[in-house]
Amino acid sequence: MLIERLAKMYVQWGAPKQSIESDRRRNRQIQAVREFLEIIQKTGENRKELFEVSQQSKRKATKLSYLLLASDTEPAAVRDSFLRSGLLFKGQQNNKPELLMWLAGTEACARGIHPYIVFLIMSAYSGLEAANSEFLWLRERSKLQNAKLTEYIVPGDLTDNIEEALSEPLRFKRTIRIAGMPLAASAFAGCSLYYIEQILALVGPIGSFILTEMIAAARKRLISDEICTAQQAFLDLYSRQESESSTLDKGLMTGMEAFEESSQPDPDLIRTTTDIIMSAEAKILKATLSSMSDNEIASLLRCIEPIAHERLLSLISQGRQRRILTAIQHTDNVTGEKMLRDAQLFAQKLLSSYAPRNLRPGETLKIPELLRNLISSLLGRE
Amino acid sequence: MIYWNADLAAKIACSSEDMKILPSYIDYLVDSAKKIAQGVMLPDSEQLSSEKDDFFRYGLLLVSEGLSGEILEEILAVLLYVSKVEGIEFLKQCVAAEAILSIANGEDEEIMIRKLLPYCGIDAALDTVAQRKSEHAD
Repeated sequence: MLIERLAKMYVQWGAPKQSIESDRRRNRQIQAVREFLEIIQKTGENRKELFEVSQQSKRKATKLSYLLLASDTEPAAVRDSFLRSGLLFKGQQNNKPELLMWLAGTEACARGIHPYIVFLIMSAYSGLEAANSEFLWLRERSKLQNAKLTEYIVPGDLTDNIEEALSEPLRFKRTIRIAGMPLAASAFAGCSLYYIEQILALVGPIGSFILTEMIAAARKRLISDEICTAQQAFLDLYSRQESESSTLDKGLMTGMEAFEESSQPDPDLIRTTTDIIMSAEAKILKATLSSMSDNEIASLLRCIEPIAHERLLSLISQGRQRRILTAIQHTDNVTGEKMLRDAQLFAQKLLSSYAPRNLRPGETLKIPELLRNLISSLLGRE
Repeated sequence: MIYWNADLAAKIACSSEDMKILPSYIDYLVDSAKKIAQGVMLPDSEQLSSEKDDFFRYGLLLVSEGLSGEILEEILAVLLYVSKVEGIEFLKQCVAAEAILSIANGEDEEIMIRKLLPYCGIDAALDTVAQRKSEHAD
């Protein structure tokens, strides 16, 4: 809890020591943080270079920070080092915010937090006004950064559903925040550049740059299976967020339900749809399912017999299976008309999966006769 | 474990007269959160330029960059720690910080209200919750 964290700061470090702050002093502090950001970004994992920087630093706290980072100090040991150095005092003695700032920055770097976020944490110690102006400075800097990603796709739950997920940008943005940038970046590492660009446009320039760098790092660090797991986890979080449109739809539905007639499922419709699924080629069926949303598949499952359930579910990943089953649980009773529409939508998507990209006019689709008749019969129903 | 510090208590203390403005401030924060959740108001810098509450505006800027959870809480706690305002103005900053965290975490209106109302004092919070319940029942 926020207030608890604040109280802890007061208990550990006392009230911030007020000193007469001249503009010159404040500017010097801000300049030192900007320099810190640049050095951390430039040196990266190069410990030797960080050590050299520490030797050139004149101020004690800055020198200690660089030295601790150069020697790869564990995050938990950073605080002890600051206390032992005599720069900070425990037990409600008033400490200078500037020194606490260097401690927080060093700890955050040691925890592997992105330098831009470290910068935002550190600049907060200069107060709201300075934090705001430093935020604007960082935003401009982010726009000038030239971080480029190459095309790299890892098929998985998110790559299958990304288009549908991005159709609700507010929900997607919320999921990024709830997942946190490291998980989100690991999940996006397997997405195509086309979609990554759309995702990056959902956050501001700072967030966009951080995500780009994290995606690049995740691609180097993670194997395909790990990216798949991250995709599944991200999509699970996305599914748990209440859909903006479904909330709206629910409101509308309550009024509509009174007028809608609930009809019994048509056995003939169920038999035809089941036969289509059992006759279609597995490869084509898989491609069709990839083009359908979880809700569409959940609706389709209501129009088929159990034997076809098994076939469909065997063609999709376990993570997606779980989401579809959840979607079924959240669906209210459907009418016969809706079932027919759902089955026809599936038949249309199946047809388009059969159509090759370079189909010439007049050329017929290579669909087995039996399947062709079943699809025609389904699409012809009213 | 309850952490206690006299300096913080002195900084946050305000009169019951001052506290009277808090419920309407909470309404304003909840309303802004609702607009953000519905996409009516986007927490980006251009739309936020009209926001007069500097603390709330800065928090929303951080949210617009995708910040949330521990990191966002750390930044907001630091801003409160070094904040030079006192009394009701400081209390308002604390409430705004909680609201920003709620918005970042995608919490719904009910949860947000339950987190913010205790800042008005336990009696006022209970009264407001009871009042809201009876309004919903009607």
